[in-house]
Amino acid sequence: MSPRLEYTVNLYRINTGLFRRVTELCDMKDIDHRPLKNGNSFRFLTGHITLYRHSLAATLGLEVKFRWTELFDLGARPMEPSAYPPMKDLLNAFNKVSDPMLKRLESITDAELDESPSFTVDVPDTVNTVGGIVSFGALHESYHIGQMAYLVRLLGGDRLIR
Amino acid sequence: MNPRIKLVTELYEVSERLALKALNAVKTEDLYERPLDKANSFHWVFGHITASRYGLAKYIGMTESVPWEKLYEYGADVHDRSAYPTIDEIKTAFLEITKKLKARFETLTEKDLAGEPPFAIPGLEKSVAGILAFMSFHESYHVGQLAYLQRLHGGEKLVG
Repeated sequence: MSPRLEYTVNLYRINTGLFRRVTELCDMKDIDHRPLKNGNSFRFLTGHITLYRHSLAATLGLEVKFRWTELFDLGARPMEPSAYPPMKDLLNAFNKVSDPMLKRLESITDAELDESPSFTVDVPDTVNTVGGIVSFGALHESYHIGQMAYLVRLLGGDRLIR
Repeated sequence: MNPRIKLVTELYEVSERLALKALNAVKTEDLYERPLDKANSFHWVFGHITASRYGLAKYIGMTESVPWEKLYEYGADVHDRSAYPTIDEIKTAFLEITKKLKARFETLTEKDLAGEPPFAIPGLEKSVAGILAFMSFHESYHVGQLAYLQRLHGGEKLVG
């Protein structure tokens, strides 16, 4: 593994564990609830993180396919619950992409980290190289996992981190 | 800067920008609001992020502190708002510690990074470098909550 990526890969491992844990904490009856009509639902956040993992896997050269991009992309319009895939399908998609993605991160070279990525992000201070995208992706996941944990608490569930 | 921590320290800069953007966007009347009377307020989460930056400073060998850190510790009791510093005081402290942390990140040596951490995180190297990485996760996690709170109060998206 590139020494430059050592801690970033660890952040992905932390995110993977906490993502799985927070999805166990949310009561299935609440997955489409949008607090005060403004916040994203738990199901949207689950799909959004899973979509980003697929995008990242693709930019790392892995052959992956995510079927519900338009439903979970940044800025996607909220839909009726019936428009969304079941949570178990989203979690399966997350699990399926995660191991190959983490393995690929462990084998990436310094030269590859400096290449241009297949997509970029418009966030200040984010470097648009493969390394920058990989690094931002870890932040992006943690950011949304924090939101999922907050939502679980709002809905009366347990703390994610004790 | 030690190349092993460069990507992680860049995340602190992204979080800094996003936290300040959220702070700039939140309405004064919403600062202390606890949605559905259950979750943490914007004020508390921003204070927690700031206090955590002071915590990180100590972990990497600095002696910076603010008198109100304990009010924002994990699991702290909720007090009357008069017990807390104002949001402007917190922002000033945030900017001050951020500047000092950036300078310190530049000078961290391999020996510093290999030092004994104050606590261990499962799955992360038991070292100061491991804690530096974990605290970047912690901060992103709470910045996401600031963004969510901002949206709950009717504000614009923080990203995108």
